[in-house]
Amino acid sequence: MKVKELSEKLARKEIASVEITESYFKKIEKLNPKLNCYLTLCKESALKTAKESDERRSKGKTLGPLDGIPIALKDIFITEGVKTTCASKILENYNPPYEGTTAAAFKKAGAVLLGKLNMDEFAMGSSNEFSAFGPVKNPWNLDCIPGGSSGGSAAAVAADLCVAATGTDTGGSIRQPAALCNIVGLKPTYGRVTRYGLIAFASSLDQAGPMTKDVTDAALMMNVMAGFDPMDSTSLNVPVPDYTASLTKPINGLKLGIPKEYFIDGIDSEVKQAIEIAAKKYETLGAKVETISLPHTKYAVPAYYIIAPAEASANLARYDGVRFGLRTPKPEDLLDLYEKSRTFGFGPEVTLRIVLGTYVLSTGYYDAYYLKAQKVRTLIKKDFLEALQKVDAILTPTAPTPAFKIGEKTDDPLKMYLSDIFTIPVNLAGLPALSLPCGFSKAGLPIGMQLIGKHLGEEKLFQIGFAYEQATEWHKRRPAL
Amino acid sequence: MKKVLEKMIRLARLKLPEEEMNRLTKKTEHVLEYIERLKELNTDDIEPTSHAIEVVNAFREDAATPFSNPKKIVEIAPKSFENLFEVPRVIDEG
Repeated sequence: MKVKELSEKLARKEIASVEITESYFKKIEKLNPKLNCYLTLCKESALKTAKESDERRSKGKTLGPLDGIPIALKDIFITEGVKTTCASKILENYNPPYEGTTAAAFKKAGAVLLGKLNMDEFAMGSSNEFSAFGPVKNPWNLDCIPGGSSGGSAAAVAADLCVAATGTDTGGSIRQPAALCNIVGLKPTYGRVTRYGLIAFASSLDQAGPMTKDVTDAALMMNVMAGFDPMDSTSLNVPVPDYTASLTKPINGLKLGIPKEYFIDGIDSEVKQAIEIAAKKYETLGAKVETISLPHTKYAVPAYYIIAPAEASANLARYDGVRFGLRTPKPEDLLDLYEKSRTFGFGPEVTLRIVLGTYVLSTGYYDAYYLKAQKVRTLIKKDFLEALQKVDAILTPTAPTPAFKIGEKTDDPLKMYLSDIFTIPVNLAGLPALSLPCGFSKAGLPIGMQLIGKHLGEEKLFQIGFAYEQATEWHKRRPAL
Repeated sequence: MKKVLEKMIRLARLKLPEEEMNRLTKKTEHVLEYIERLKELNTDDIEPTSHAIEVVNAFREDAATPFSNPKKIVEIAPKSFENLFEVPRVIDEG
């Protein structure tokens, strides 16, 4: 079920929210043991919210298109009274005393929260294998990873274990799993969606966004998520458009740029071919496609692996076993309490990133690493801004390969990091980018393409994405489970 | 490198057994080697970017706003005493 489709059915009173919510829980009970998408289920509160929605509707009132729609949130979104673990042992029993802005916005819109979704611990990972609560499986092939870090969200949407979901994207964590699971994912412009109520990973890069079954649903979700939040100091105080308004605008004459640096060694030939076919499709729809250059592309991943761990090492200093989260049972003294709680609470990938971050920020290394990376960030941003003066959007593959096998890359951090090679540059530049289905490999695994737009250019991305979606059938395919 | 990383581990308030320390050192060296690629670029005249979007300081009134349920904040602590967080003794009785 999609948001729009279900919303119309609810409006016509063909179905009730309680009925559809119950049917989702039945499906979750059946399929979640296979997929491991959900970490927490909110059955009681969900049915209560659904009942309230139905009662409201019977009186002729509604809170909008999301009213009565069952959704799920990545377990990085703070939800008051609902366990929020960030897939880490250190937050295993954390029950937030406050509500994050995004969770509150969905409540206000009448959405029904089914539960919280699995992810890589603290959103650090590209395969969902770094969750402290077990990996998520790709619904298209249970031996494969769903992508990460929002792997639970992508798998749950693809397997229809929720109508729509949210994710967060620091280096590709919405777009890469969306591509690998055949769904739509948007990383909005930095500052467009609040960070208040997101457990922080790398604050200058973190951005929340929707993960849905099609572009229309992503627009509907953005109508709820986007907007200024005084609780987030980097939130943009800019009016929010109705994101569904631009969908049907024609794309005739629009220019798309394909960066030559994105067709590197190591890109899967089937992915390359799918993007070439998508570009041709755009030409038949009246768009102009040209080759562009983003010369500093190859420096994005190394710059990111300085900036993101540096910010993470500072953000994760708050987990000290004192005020909330896990505490070691018998500490000898305060230092022992810190060390044992943190060592036991963090998994190996989080530990690696904390150490990397501490190293690049330490005395004597700051200029060589952190400052250098920030300067490279300027060059990468400049590449994009120059290119986007010539074209309306940039078309690239979302990930270099389709989903890989579970266990294939866990021992080699670099191999894992390179699966975000096409998404990381976008976060460094703070631009919006949309991933949408554009093909399948011979092995039956989904392939996704990425559309990158100008700052606050989400509407244009939806317009360009919607035109492609209308002309193709990829997004309609569902995994057989 | 291992010696330097042992210091980082201490600074980050972590404590790793020998075997894990070796594994971590190997992985860190591998990533740092890759990061070295940035040295190819001359960035002498380039301004650093700390945030992708230019945001001017977000000033607000320095006014207290009441929190709905402060008791909850103490209740979720691993150990608390009345309205305080409890930790092991940090000063001697003397």
